[in-house]
Amino acid sequence: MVEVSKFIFRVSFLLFLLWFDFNFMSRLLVFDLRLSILLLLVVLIHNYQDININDWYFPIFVLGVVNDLIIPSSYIGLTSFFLITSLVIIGKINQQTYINFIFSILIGDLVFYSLSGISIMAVSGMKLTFLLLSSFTINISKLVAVNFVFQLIVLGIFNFGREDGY
Amino acid sequence: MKKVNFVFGYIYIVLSIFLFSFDLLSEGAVKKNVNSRLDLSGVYSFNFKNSSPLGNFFLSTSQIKSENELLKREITSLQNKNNSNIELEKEIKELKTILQYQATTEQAILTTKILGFETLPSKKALVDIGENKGVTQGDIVLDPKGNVVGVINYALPMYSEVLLVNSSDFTLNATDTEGNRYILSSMNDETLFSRSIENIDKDIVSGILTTNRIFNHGGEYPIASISVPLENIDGVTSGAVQILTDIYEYKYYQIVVREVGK
Repeated sequence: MVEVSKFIFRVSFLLFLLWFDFNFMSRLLVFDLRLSILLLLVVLIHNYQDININDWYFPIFVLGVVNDLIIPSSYIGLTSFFLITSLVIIGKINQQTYINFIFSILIGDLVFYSLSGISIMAVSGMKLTFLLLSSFTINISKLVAVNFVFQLIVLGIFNFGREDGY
Repeated sequence: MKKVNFVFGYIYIVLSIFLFSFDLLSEGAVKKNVNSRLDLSGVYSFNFKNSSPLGNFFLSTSQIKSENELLKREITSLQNKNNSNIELEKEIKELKTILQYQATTEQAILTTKILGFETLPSKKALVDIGENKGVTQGDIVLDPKGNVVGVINYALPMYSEVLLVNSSDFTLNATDTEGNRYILSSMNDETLFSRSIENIDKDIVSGILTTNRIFNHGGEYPIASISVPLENIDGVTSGAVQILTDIYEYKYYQIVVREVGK
């Protein structure tokens, strides 16, 4: 019963986060680039030692599905795939003690936006040519840079004076 | 270091890919079906219009940019309208001047719109009436105030060509206030060279040179003013005279028609 109520709480929290993302974060652009609060969530889950990541796979999966249902151009499952992949990759890199947590976040961001970019191009029916590579790289770099800075600022604020954070 | 079971992660990744593939292959049928039953986008959209301070705070850069573009376009359009209004006001003023002028004269004068100007080989203007209104070669052309701007060079059925007073090949007979006759020819853009036809035996200090009925000009219309005295040398009185009109300042001219009755 406790597990069920915890699960309901997590899903409700994530759905609220999605509402916040659609209504506030989507309007708060930096250099015309959108800050991803969902990706920030993935990073924050990894930030705290006492959070059990296994508990968050399914809520994030549900969050991704709901997100894809709302966005007209997206297909169901895409966002879940990106988020969970980033979650797993950041976790995997974190296990390697020789790589810093900050660096693993950067890799997670890169994976998330690279997958998003590829899927957008593939799903939109665009012919994938070598010429698109520069535009693809530039846009991804910009998104990663802006979101990475945003995540670092939030992490800095959240970890200030805490011992269970990285 | 916390322990993470990545197997669940892989399972959900596979599940996501499966869902995506299913939705893609069914061409979004699942999504359409769900959305037709439950309007999630309605639940997730919040209208900021009614809460303006908060809405303005969260107004995105792109929105501001697009608004800025829209305002720029509006400004350009308003500027164009304003310019066109100024032009129209100027035209109205000119036409009023023409009406006032024509009310004071008994001569048949036609109002004509300038279609354009030509500078090479000679300075000319094209006007929108021609033989259809009785315009003929040699008719005097006036500005709205009644000063001579040129003579009709060619009169074609629907339009005419005016040889302007500042053109290098412009020549015209004129008389001064005492009735002395002169021949005027071009000097530069602002002055004409005036040379008396008959012996005057004196200098002409001031006055206005006008067209005259004796030259079949249809009336007396001012052409130029004597600002520098015309000197008499060996029986010929000559010198530079100042053109009175501002040729390129107008949109309308007047044509003194000499043969309307014929």
